Amino acid sequence: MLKRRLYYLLMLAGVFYLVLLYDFWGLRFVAGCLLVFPSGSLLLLLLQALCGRYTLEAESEWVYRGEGTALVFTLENRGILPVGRVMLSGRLQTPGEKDIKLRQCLLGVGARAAGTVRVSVQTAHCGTARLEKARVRIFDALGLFSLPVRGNGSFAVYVLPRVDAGYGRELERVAQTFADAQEDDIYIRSYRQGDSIHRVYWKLSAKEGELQVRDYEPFSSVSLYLDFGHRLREQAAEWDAYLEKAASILAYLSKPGQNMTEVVWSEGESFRRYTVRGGRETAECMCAVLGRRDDAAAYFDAPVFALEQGYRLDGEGRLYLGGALFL
Amino acid sequence: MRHGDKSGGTVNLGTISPGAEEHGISRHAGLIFDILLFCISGVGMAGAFLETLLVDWRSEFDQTLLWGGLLAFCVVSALWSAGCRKDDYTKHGKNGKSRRLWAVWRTMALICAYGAALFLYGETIVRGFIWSFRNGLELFGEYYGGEGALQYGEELLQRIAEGGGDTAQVRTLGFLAVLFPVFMLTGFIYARGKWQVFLIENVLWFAAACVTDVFPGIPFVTLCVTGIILAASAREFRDSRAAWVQASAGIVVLCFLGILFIERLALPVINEQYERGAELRHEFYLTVNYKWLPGLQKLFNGSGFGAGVDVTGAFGRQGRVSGIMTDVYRVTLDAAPRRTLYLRGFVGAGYSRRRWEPEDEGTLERYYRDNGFSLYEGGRELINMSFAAAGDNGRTSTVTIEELLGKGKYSLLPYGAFVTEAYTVHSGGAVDRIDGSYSFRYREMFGVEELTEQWEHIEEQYRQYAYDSFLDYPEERLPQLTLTLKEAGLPVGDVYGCAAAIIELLEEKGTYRLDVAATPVGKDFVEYFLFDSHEGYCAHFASAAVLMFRYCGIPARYATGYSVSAAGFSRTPENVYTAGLTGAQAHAWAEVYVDGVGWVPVETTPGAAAFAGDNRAEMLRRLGILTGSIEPTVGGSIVIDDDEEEEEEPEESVGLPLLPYEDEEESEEMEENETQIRQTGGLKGIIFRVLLIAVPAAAVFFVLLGRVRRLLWNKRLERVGGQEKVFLFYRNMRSALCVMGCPRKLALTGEAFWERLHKVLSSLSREEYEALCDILEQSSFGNRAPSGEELETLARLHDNMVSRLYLNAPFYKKPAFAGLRCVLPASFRTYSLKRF
Repeated sequence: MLKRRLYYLLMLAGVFYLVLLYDFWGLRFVAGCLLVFPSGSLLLLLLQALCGRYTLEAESEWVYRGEGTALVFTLENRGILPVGRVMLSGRLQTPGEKDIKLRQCLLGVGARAAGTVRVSVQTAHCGTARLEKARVRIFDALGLFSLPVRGNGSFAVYVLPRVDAGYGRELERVAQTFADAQEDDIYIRSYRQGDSIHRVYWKLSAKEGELQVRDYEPFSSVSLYLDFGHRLREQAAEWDAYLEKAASILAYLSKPGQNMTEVVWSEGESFRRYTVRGGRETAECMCAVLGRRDDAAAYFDAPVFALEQGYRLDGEGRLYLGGALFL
Repeated sequence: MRHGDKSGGTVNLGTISPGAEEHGISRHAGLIFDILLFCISGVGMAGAFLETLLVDWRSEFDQTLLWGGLLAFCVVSALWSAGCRKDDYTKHGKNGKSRRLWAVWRTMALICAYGAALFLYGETIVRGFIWSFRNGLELFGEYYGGEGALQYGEELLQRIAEGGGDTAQVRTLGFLAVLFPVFMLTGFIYARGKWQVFLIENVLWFAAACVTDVFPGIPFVTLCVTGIILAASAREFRDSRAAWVQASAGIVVLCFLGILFIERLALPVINEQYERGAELRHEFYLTVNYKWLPGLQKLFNGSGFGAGVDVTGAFGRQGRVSGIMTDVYRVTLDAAPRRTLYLRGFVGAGYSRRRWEPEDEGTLERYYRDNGFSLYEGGRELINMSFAAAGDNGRTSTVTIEELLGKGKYSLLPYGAFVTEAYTVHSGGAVDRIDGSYSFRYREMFGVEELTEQWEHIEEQYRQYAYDSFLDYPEERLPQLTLTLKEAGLPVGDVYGCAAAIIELLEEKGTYRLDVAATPVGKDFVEYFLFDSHEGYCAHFASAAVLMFRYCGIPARYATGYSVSAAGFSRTPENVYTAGLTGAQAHAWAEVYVDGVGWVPVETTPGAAAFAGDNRAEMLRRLGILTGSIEPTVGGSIVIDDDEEEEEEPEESVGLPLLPYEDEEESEEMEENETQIRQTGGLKGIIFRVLLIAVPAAAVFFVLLGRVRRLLWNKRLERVGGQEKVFLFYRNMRSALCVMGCPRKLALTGEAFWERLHKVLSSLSREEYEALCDILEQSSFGNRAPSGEELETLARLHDNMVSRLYLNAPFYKKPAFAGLRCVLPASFRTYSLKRF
């Protein structure tokens, strides 16, 4: 487009140069054509831009790592004039990779019709793929002028880690071994009225400042504390591995028959938590970990010490339970 | 639908997606559009050509044959170009191959048919074409061909008329036959996606219209404009057939309305404003022709001695290209020249190592004030002194000098000129210019007349000044020259004798050569010339002569300007004599002060390119006459009788003048030398011009070569089978790695290769590497071809790897990627996504 504009300007400059030097009617006619036709094209473009609306969306809200998705861009032409070139531009941010300058054109949308363009997006790492600074511009028939078009929508896809079945099996095996080794007192919870004084875990209580009791019965809920540093998010391969483990652990803890799992992680100065009750919510939880804030609740006064006594996955990928190395 | 899909979709308005499902319908619609486009544009262009070239097609052409033939050509070229489209060639398998072959056969058939028609009816076609375009050809011949071309054209038309070449059918066929290859070429180029070919076609007839000053009728112009806009807009709607049809219809209607608007409303307003701006246009015209264009020429011609408008005291020519053949001035004389004309621009008083310096401003005034002398006319009288001294002995002429190459700093002044009060004179004798064209009256000094008392007084005062100011001889800087002059025993104080001796001495010491090396640093310009190189041009000879004169006690100055021989003038119908001065005629000479006369030029350069013959003897004789050392003689001599002048006035100067005292052989030898010097002169400029063209051409060539190679590689990639694709990708990756420093022969184990790879491309993950190895192994040793998914993975890996290598590469290695047939990162992401 830049080339075309440059040629037009050069042609205009050349014609005006010749018009000033030579008295020839034809030159003035050409100068008139060079002014009138682009002006007419620009006027029509104004009408076309007013009648155009675009929508931008992702084909799916989340995908697993390694799978592809698509950016769907649709332009709806509500006017009576056909539209030529429509250009979508922006920066496609894919996790773990350099930003890509996206420039996609839709060439021609009829009157009162819509045109769609799909752009495949492949992501190799977990995170959020989004389109930043998205701009849609509509061009005139000559390709000289462009105007922005109004619209809505955005493209954001969460790339989730895959559940590692092997890790899950290992987790189960270790959990069984652990359970067998423990006689009782696997579960620790806060004191409730009616609990026996003999079950109070005095050491933990002193540390926590509130009474904690041992219980024979399994908890109705389990906590999984994702203890990772902020910098882990910036290391794509390590972050993928960590999230895969976290997903696998979550999948194990959320099996049918298990109770709810409270997942807690730190975000900046505070914490966030998400309660997983079933298998489907695992994916939603992962989305929350990756940055979807709507679902995850803020957890300002997270009892870190207590969380560390539950399941804790540290930044190195080691799983602890009750402070002891689990896997 | 995939995981996590949103529910509740968008409203479907009849989505038109670009894709292959409409390909069959689009193909026919595309053909119809092409035919329409070719018809509109072809008819418009043909009609425009006919009208601009002054062809009376209404009465001289067969209308049925003309328009029928045109439309047939349009349809044929559209159909033919449809078969030459890139898309058809890139189709896989038999379908694409057969289409390609069919296109080739069709092309060959068309060419053969056309060739056969030319062979059988060529003469008839040529006759018809020439006869139909005779008016236009006559006009072109008149502008560019000259009388000879016009005469030939008339004879040709006469022969054609006698040979029966002027029937309507023949003329029409001649026109169509010339137009046919144009249409085919247009179709071919358009098939390659270059819609600009329609624009270029129309530029051609427009250029013809500018020459003939005839603009075609509005109907044809409308068709031409519509064709251009349709072609330019077509690709903007190519994804949607409906949009395209709607847009084409709209464009046709709007073009007609637009042209109507321009012709009826816009053009009258433009014309009115145009007339109002006549003064502005005139100023612009002058700015372009007298400032911008000369400035541009000056940019290439350089500056300094002999290379531009101003002559200076510099010894060499500064500038990249010596445009010695570009006219710098135009000189006009009102009477036939008899001798070489010297036009002085710069006067050098002080000799420095690298140039002659002019006299400091105000030196003359200070000297006169200090000595109680008077400058009556601001210094003009000192120049006009020679005019007065020439008296009736000199023929008075008027010289007009026009600047062609921009504004000079000083005027060029002939010897014996009369400077009016309109001009400002500087200390050194330079005269300010006041306009781009100026005139001086001057007298050629063939004798000396006794000055009046007042002039005598003026001359006496100036003589003292000249002897006090222009005898400066830097003895300490010129030891060798001083010694040589002492040994030579030149006659001190005798101007004529000294001049003759100096000319002889210089003849012995140096030979003329224009293309000499610069004086080495630390060496004196004159001494290096006289005692080391023995080669130089006018600046060397003149500088040496001035110093020698000064050594002999004769006031001398270094002068530069232009000189033109009598043979260089040509007579015009208005009975004046003009000559164009080029850089080749820039010249330097010595001038000596002759008591009672003033400054007189002395030529010391042998066989310079500035004039036809060796001018030294002539100038020496004139000096002798002016100093009284020799008597003027009759018969080819300098004294001219007014009566004889009219009889001897040459009608026009042709060739070299033969001075009666010279040998003819010597003349011819001088002419040969001059030609040789002109040919060898400016060698450096020629080399620079060649480089100026060759370097960008080479750059363009290599860029195009890179693009062509990438194109061919991509085509090959799409053509070959799966295993070969794998090999091609792998080979390209290895080449890219080689650019980044990996050795080409990597006969290493897997781990070693991984380490080496990781070193060059640290962002490559182990997973990616293993995926790549798996595909390569499977392709090399497996018993099945790689699947589409594997190929897609490999393509993605290849593109990612090469792009990362390119991004990490230092700037000086980046061009190597272009030569590796790798697709550069800017485009290959979308390309690879579309490839499979």
